[in-house]
Amino acid sequence: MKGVAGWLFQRVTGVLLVAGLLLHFLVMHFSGPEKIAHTVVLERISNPWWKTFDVLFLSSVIYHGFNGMWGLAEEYIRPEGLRRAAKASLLVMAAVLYAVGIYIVTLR
Amino acid sequence: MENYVYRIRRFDPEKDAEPRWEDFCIAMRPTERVLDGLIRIKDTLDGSLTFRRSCLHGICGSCAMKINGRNALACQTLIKDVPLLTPSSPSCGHRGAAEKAAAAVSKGVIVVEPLPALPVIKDLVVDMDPFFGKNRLVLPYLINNEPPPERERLQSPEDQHKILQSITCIMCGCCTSSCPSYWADKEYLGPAALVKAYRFIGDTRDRATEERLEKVAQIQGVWRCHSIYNCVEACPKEIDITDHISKLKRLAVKKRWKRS
Ligand code: HEM
Ligand code: SF4
Ligand code: SF4
Ligand code: FES
Repeated sequence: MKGVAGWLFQRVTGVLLVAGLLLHFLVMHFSGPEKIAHTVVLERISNPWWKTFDVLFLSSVIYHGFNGMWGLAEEYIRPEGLRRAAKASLLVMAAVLYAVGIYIVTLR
Repeated sequence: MENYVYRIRRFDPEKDAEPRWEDFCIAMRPTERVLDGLIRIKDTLDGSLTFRRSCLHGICGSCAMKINGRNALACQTLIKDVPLLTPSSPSCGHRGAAEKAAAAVSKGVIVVEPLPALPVIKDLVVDMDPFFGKNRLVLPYLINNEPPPERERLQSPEDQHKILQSITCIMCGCCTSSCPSYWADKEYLGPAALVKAYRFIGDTRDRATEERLEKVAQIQGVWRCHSIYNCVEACPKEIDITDHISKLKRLAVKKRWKRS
């Protein structure tokens, strides 16, 4: 039964992304310009609930995006050396982006 | 009767290093089938043209081939239903000036090729061993060690209905050879074998569901399917193959997290 968890998790994170995207758009794009002023944003990202949301959203997108790309590399890159290189660079990119994301979430 | 050009992808392992295109111009009624044309070409123009056919009625599954870019049964595809290609169409294959002229005065071009992704043996005949090999992996037979009843193992009409679609599969190979996931990975079980697995997993008389799920819920099993639906478009029996595979995926998830 290999592969069940990975498949299910791709779908679960997909659903989380839809929910996160909705919230993101409501807060960032439909709440008026005063809500994205520097001080307001700083205040918002210091809220622990907002931090929790951000970490969840970040983890979902990193997992979802890179697991998806991993699958593509696994299935469609035939030369073994190239496949390994692609997978290694995906791991590096995921780690760097995750670190940057966590850094920003914990700024304040 | 109208004139049609059959543009056939040919390969004779004893003569050709590479497959080649050959044109045949024949008169057909629009209500005849693509297979009738192939038979006529073999009978009257070139006896060496090689293809499989047996039942002529869409039930043996042997005349599957690629007709104008789509996998289909040649005995089930009417000339009038083939979207005819013009001689200038890019998917018309390679040809010289003489063929071009012949095609221009015909009703249109019908391009016939062997099924993709399977090794070509000769002309339109492909090696189906890889395809049937995948089928064997999913234990395609009823497994039930309980003592048999006096006459037969009965099934209610309702229970039979649940697997009716998957039972109608004729193992033609149109689906698996149209699947991009199979093109990329020849070790993928492919839609036909998964439909076969479903046919027995869903059978109330069968007792090997767990064993079979274990075989199909693998990286190169159901998880290679990304719901591209090529198989469904190709299936001459109109089986909703992707739906069957999705059900197998759900069963696998349930089995994995079932409290034991
Ligand atoms: C908006 C919400 C999203 C939903 C509902 C969603 C859903 C899905 C699903 C169900 C799959 C699996 C497809 C399969 O294997 O059959 C998938 C694959 C994938 N997703 Fe998403 N996704 C979303 C957003 C994103 C985002 C934002 C990214 C990029 C960061 C992304 C990148 C990928 C990649 C690269 C794949 C693998 C390609 C594939 O399998 O076809 N997705 N997505
Ligand atoms: S739905 Fe799945 S099995 Fe069918 S063609 Fe697409 S990937 Fe292949
Ligand atoms: S599922 Fe359809 S296309 Fe596939 S082998 Fe069976 S009949 Fe042919
Ligand atoms: S000849 Fe039997 S299916 Fe076409």
